[in-house]
Amino acid sequence: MKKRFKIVALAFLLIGLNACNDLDISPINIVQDKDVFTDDGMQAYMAALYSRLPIEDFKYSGSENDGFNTWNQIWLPSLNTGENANRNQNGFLNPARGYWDNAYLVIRNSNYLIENLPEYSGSLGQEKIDRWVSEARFIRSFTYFALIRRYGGVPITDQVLKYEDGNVEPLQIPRSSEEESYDFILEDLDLAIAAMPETSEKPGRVNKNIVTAFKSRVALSAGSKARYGVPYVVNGVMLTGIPSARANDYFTQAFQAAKSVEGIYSLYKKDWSETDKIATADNYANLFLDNNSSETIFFKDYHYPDAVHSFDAVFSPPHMTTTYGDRFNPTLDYVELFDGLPKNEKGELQTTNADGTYIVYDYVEQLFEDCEPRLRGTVLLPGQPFKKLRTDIRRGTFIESVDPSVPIQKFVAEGLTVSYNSNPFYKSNVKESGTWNSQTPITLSTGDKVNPTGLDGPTSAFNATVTGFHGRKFLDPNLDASMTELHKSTQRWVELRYAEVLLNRAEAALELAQNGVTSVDGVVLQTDAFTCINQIRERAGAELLNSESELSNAAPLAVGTGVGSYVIAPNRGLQILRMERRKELAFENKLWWDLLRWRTADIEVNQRSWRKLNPFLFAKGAKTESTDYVLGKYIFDCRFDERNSRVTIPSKAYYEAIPGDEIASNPNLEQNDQY
Amino acid sequence: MGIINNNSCKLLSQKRVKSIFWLPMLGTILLLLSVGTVYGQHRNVNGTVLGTDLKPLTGATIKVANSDKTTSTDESGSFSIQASSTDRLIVTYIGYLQKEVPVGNNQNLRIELVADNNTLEDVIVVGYGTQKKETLTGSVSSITGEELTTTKTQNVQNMMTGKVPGVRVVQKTSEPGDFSNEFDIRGFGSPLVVVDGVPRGTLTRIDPNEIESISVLKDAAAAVYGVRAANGVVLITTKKGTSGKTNITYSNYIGFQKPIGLPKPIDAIERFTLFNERSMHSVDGPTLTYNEDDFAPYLNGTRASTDWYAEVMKPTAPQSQHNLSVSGASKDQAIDYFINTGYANHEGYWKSGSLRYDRYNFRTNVNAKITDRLTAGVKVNGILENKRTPTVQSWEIFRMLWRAQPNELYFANNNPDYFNRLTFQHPGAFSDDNVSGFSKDRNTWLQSQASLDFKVPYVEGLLARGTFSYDTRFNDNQNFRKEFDVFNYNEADNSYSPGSNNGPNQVRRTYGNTPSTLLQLSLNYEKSFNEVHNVKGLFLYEEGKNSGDNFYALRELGIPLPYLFAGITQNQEAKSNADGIFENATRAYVGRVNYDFAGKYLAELSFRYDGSSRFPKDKRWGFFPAASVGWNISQERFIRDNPSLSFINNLKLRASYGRVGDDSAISYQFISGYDYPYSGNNTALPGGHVFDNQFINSLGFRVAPNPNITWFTSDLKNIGLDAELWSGKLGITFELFQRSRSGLLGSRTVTVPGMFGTPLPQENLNSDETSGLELQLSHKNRIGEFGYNITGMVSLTRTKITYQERNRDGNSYNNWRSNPMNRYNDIWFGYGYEGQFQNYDEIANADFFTGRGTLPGDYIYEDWNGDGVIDGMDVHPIATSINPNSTEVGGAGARRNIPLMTFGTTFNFDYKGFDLNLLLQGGALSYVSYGEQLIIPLAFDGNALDIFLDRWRPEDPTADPYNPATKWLSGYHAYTGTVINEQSRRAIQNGAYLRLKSVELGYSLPKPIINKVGVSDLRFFANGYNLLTITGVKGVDPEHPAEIYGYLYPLSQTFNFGVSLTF
Repeated sequence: MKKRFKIVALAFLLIGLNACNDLDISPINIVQDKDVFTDDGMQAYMAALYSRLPIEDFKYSGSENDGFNTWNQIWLPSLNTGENANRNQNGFLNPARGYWDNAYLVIRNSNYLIENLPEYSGSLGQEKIDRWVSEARFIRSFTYFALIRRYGGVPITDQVLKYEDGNVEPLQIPRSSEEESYDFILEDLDLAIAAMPETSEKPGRVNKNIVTAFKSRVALSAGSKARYGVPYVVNGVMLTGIPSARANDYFTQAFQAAKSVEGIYSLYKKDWSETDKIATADNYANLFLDNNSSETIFFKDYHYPDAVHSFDAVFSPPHMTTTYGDRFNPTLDYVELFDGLPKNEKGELQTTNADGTYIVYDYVEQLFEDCEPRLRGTVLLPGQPFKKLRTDIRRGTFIESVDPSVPIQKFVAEGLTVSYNSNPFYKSNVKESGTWNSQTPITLSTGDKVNPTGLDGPTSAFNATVTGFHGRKFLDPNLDASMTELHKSTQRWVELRYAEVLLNRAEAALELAQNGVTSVDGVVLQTDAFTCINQIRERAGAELLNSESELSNAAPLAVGTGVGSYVIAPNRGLQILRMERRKELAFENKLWWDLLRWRTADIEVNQRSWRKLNPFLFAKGAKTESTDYVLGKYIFDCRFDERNSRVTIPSKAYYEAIPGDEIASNPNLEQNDQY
Repeated sequence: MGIINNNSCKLLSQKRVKSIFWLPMLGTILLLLSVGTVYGQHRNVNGTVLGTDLKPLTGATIKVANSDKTTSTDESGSFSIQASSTDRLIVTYIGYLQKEVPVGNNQNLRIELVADNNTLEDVIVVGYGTQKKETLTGSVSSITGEELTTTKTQNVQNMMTGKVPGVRVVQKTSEPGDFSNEFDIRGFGSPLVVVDGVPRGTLTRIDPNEIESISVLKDAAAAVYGVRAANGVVLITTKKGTSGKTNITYSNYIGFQKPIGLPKPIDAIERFTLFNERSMHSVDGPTLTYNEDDFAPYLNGTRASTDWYAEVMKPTAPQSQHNLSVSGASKDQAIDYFINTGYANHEGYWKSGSLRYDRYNFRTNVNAKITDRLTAGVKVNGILENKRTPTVQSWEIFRMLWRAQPNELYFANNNPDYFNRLTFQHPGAFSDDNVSGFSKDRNTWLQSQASLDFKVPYVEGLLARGTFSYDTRFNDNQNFRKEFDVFNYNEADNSYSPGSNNGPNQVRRTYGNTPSTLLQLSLNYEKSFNEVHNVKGLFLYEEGKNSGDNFYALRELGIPLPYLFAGITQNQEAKSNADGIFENATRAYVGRVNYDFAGKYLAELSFRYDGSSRFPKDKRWGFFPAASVGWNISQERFIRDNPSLSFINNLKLRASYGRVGDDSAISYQFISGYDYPYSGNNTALPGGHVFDNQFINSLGFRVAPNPNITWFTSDLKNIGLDAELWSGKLGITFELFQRSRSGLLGSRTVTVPGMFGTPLPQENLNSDETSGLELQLSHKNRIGEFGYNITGMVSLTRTKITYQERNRDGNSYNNWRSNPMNRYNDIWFGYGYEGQFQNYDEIANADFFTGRGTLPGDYIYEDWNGDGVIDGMDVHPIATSINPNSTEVGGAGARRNIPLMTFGTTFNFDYKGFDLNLLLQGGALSYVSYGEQLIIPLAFDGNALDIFLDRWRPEDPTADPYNPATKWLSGYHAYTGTVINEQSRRAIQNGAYLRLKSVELGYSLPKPIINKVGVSDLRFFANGYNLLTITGVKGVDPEHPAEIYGYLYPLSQTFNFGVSLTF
């Protein structure tokens, strides 16, 4: 008995001795600076910073979060500028959505790197320190630039802010003026340029040239704000707007930066042909898809399955994707900017005869056969081959009893917004289908069947184009329609390319030339602007400018008096340049910012209803050649958007409101005008 | 008796309450009047005492009230005693309720005793021990296994619904294998679940037939669990063998389920009609979208609407459960054992059979007395569950079903070789695992514990105990995504063009486990001194370790086989979920002393000193004390000796106070550094960046550290009253409680500018206060062979925010609106609702601004501030909800319709071999509003639910609704196209409900007959669940959560039939 007791007591004792957990257990997946400020650790640090850069890419949309990193692109800046129209949005929306906290997170962690990395120069070497600190400066500048474009002057900090003992005062930094903010970035970029090597550590990272090219964008923006901005001063700080005296200085910096990357990058002309318009069009489209393009400067890559986007699935024409396909609808207003189309004296597409009857075309592609190649490289036109299929764009079909040889009067008078069905002839002779994917075909006397409406719209309802066009830029032509799915796309986003740098250079040059500076560093500016624009036009296959005097400071074309006359500019020279930017940089999320820095958005987009093009097929003599192509005679009707939606941009939209909780938590933070 | 359980009804049947309550009261008054009046002559009174099944009881005690005269019954249950006709006899017998019988003029009394299922002698499981109900001072409710199993579902939580006061259960879904209920104690939040003394999170999956009892610690009684007990504790005790005989029991039930609260999508003609109404609903351009050509084929029968429910769902789904248990003890009681195996099956409504749940439970509990002083015990429990689903979640399939247009075909061109390409996803393809792939979740729990009890010699009443447990859970998921094509049929050239869905073929295997150990060493002391001083003591040392690990591998498939070996090298992944990898340790010292003086004055003091590796070093240890006292008034002489108060069997007052903590949300916020790798989302901000065509994992920047962070504390207060009157005819338990929490984690996000550049760490900033009451009434009686008991309970709880870190507001209205302090956390701000415009005149004469699009039938919202405009300034408190103004779609932060008041009443009847159990259960003070398709017909241009057919519309569907001459038909909803204000009292529905939660009718075969064939018990039963619901909520079940826009898999009504056989 006693023995047993001893054994039991011993057992308890043993358990007791083995006990006493050590409570010092460090968490498993938290790492410290000493592991991070190493060669490998810095790759992860850089990945964290680069992935958070405010790049307005395939995942930028006003529908969610602060605009960045959302796959569901519905509300796009291009909907405000007349580039694009889609059924999900039919009025102005502010594409910036309170981007603030995530910006300062990037800035804080860039500051942290800049502050602390130099301590590791012993283990890493000065060369790496210089490179990485410069990259952090670029990242900080890129992020501040995104803030300044939205808000004007913002609170600037190049320190890692400390929050101690609940004391918030050191954090309540007031806004700098817009001028100081720009100067801070430009200085930071200069420091980075000075300390960086010519080549990137890895593709996807920045180097001296990339930073220089980016500087041209920043300085041009600053110059425009100085020239066109409206100062808004609170407590002696010009929160938005820059004194106009600074304009030439900024434009000079923009010009110099743009000029200095000449020869390092060049316009992509791999498949370009002077004679073959289709090849030139494909060349233009391919510059976004060729990862070895000489034109690409700064880009963001994707990788399946870790980092993907859904651009193809959401933006391909409906019968070329497995999902939506109704979001990439270039407007007729945009298409009309291009050369090689029949136009009237207002600069609008001419599809009727002088007597107001429709011109009859023998097949659907005929209208656009001679268009500028860049249009075909940017937009999918009716009947255009794509993804081994063809766009099938047709609003409706005339019943077989309607003879193409009998002239048809325009259904709805020019400028009216009433529905087609208000025309009795239309109502009784045109067949259309509300949905593109379950249609009841018209059976012809030949036994042939044709769908009343094209598989890609345009329709008055449901998911298809609302403009009569689909977009092409950035879309992957090699992705089979049946494989075009959500969260599968990985093509590169080209954030900065040489064409923009050339246009930045031309614009800076022209702004300077028209404001008393004839040359910079020995370069004659008027001539340089002319050369740059013609380089762009030549590659586009567009008509070249004849002489540099075309870029004059004479009055611009008045609205409604010629091609591109709705593009607001102070003079004809800049009007030509701004039109060129529209045509070249459309659908790259750049033009909204152009309208803001030129301060033309509220004037230009005032009660605008975007225009569309509706093709109609004659059933008589038509033949279905393939699922998505009907050979037959067509007429085209230009009209206003059938949804009767109008877009007006308020003047306060030039800047976004500082987020309310920021104003609330920082008494030194002043709100923008009109908010 | 019956203090805690089985009390009488309330609320639901006022008449019954009156009759139960007032009649005995009247009796009492009469009785009181009779005190001290005439005493009759003494004579010999004879009688018999009978028990259950009218068996005579041998050895029952018969006492003449207020005298020393006692006797007991003989073998035939008969007795004889001297008493006068005015005397009353008090009859007691172990296991039966005490009964008082007036002698009267009866010469031969026949006294039937009512079996007492839970007498005061009952012990209740409390933290680290047991206690007699009689001397309990804390607020503890308990329920037995039998009471639990009168409800038949796969989830033990659902079986507790309406049966335990203070326990609130909201069933979110009846999806097989989905256990996501709202389950809390007194509205405190998710409680700690302790199974056989060890914290284990498997309350939902335990086989109910293994449960001996469940105790719920609601106040300071929980404080012995220290830092994890802020939300109360649920203690589960599993069965052990008892009698000297071996019992083998087989029981089963087989049943079927029917969905309840499932709105039905409309057909093609109805859809076209609503669609036309919506496009006519335009001041500027009323148009008809669908014309006669579109309607014609459906009207003349050449085309039929697609009934998506009928294509995808079956009307009923089966479920079943089987159990086999062996229990008993050796003759000398040295070894006892309980062995159980259980199997449960639960199938879903998809026609494809792709949704099903199977669970296997195994348990062995064995205790062996090794010597007189030493006892060893082993408990081993295994749970194995398999859940098989299609790769998309059920709620997504419901979303597809509700969106799918009835005018779209299931198969393209009705050709069964081709799934039709729909405007939205194909619910048929996605609900069929043969088409789109499957997800198999295999979870295995292994829970084991060994214990040694040692009665320490030389010190009487001292027991040393050591317990060691090892638990682990294995999670094994196989997710096989299969690519399939949908086709667009083009009639023009008779072609089918494919669109790929759900590709590429891919298999993902996930594997994880979470082992944990717990060691407990304790000394227990229990002794009575001088028969009146009863002392109990406990000292315990506890330490535990918890860890978790996991990894997953993903491969795209060369051949579509659901195994990794079939994968190709491209795009393969091998990763782990960093959140699931952890290691932590705890240590604790627990002490408790109970003292009672003659069962009259009761006191308990306890403490817990808790240490956790999850806190910074200097904040690691916390001290959590508790105290409670009780006064057993019925033990006082002035009651015990007062014959006129002898109807009081028990009356006890008690009060408690305790402090507990909560460490659940700390997540190492006191440490600086980086999370690696950052867990991104490939469709949003990814967890890395692509450099040189390689995806490089990124760091996660941690929030600024807070070295001072610690757990938050809860002060729990409780006052209770227990009474049992008239031998169980009336039982009352009433409790008032309050929990004050301080140091709740909150961020100063609002007061610190965002340009600080990092989210702030949480700090122990906020505080709140939850208070409420519980009332339980019971009634127990037997009339002849008819026995019944009724227990009713009601609980009410609300939480007030006493401090919340926040920012100033711009104006006083906003400050009033958004200042949550000293306000209940459930106030729902929205627009008042006043009715619908009945005609054009009302619109024209409205005394506030109406838009030019306004039509008859449109909703009239309240112009609360009377300024003639309905705008944000008219928003005011209109309802209650958890997270009332949240816009989150899912998770704990989403708006939740949880009733603040819950109630339930259990009725038990038995007559001869029959038994009947009814449970009425309900909730009130709950409001709900749904989103998307439950609030907007034709959302996304898809389809509409049938609830929207009851609407205002012009008599002539082609009439211009804006023409004042148009005649209208009225309905519940406004004209199609009027979008209801989601934050209005009209859209927010009152979620109060009352339902017949479960009914069980059983018949036990007479023992004499079955005993002959060696069967000791044989019972057949029929059981129903969610049989009848009374509610004002339209379209869906009132418990159906507002989360995920209301798309969750519906609740079910079930009918089960079963048998239980013991031999």
